[in-house]
Amino acid sequence: VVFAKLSKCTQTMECSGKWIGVGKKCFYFSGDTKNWTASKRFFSSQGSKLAHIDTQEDMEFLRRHAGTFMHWIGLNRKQGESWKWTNDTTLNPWFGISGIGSFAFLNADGVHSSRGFIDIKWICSKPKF
Amino acid sequence: MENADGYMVLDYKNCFKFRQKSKGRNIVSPCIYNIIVLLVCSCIGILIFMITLICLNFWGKIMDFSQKVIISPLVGNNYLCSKDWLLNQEKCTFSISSKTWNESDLGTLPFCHFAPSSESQHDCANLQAHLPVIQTFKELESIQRTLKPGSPGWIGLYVTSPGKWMWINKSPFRSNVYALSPSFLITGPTDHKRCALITGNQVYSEDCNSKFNGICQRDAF
Repeated sequence: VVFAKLSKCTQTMECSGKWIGVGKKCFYFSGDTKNWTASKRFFSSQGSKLAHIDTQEDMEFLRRHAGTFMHWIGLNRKQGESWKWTNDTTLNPWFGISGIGSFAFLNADGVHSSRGFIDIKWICSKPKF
Repeated sequence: MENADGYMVLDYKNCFKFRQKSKGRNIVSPCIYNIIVLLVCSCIGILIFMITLICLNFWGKIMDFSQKVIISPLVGNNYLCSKDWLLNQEKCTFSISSKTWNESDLGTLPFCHFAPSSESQHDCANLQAHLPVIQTFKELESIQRTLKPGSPGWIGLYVTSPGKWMWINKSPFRSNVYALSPSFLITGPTDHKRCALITGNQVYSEDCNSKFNGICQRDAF
C-alpha cells in the first residue's frame, strides 16, 4: 500500500511534454520568439504564466539553461514604480535587474530590462501538481 | 593466389589422408599447423586490407575538407575573415556578450572600446572593429541571417535628437534607401537615449542602457 502511494506521488510530481521540472515548478523554454505582451498571452489558458522565479535554485537553473539566448520572464514595471510579477505581487528584490526598461528578460549573464518590443524567446512556469 | 589456393587444397587433401591413416594413433598431423598458419596469415591480410580501406576513406574526407576551406573564401569574392569571424557582404562580424550600447561602443567613435574589466577577446578596439554600420539592404539581411532567435545585437545606430537616427560614422540614417524593405523600419520610440537593436526579423529602438549582445564589424581582408 505504501509503495502504491509512493509511486502515485512521484507520478504527480513530474512535468509533462516539453516542460522541465525543477524544485516545485515546471518550466517551458520557447523555441519561437515574441515580444513581451505576446509571450505573456502564450499558454495563459493552461494555468501557466511567464516565468515566476522564487528561489535561488530556480534562478540558477534558468540562467544556465537560457545560455546566451534572451528569454522574457513574468516581471514588468510601470514608469517610476517597482517591479511586479504578472500576478500583481511586488518583487522582493533578491536579484538585480540591469537597465531602465520596463520588461525583464533573462540570460546566462543575469536579469536585464528592455522596452518589451523586441522578439526574443520566453520562459513559462507552472507549479507541479 | 591461385598457386597458394592450389597448395592449400593439396595440403588439405594430404592432411585428410594422413589423418585417415593415423586414425586411432592419436597423432596430430603437422599440416594442421600449416592450415592454422594460413588462416592466421589470411586474417592479418584481411585486417591490413580493411585498415587500408578505412585510411583511404579518412584521407578522402580530409582532402574534401581542405578543398572546402579553400573554396569558401572564393565564393565570397576573395574576401577573408579571421578565425571565428563571419563573412557578411565584404565585412567581417563577431558577436560579443551582454553590454550596454555605450559599453559596446564607448568614446572614440567609430571604434568601440570596452570597460577594462571586459575580456580582451571581446575588446572591439583591440579587434579594430566597431558596431555595424549597415549601408545596404543586402548587408542588413546578411547580418540578420547570422543572428539566432532570441539573441539580438546592438548595431551602430542611435538617436541624436528626437526622431533623428545617425550611424556611428556620423552618416545620417536615410530611411528612404530602405523604403522598399519593411524590415528596416525601426520599431519603438525615437526620443533621446535610444539605440538600435537588431533581431533576425526586425530592427528595434531600445534604451541605450539596456544590456544586450553586441555585434562588432570590420572590413574583410
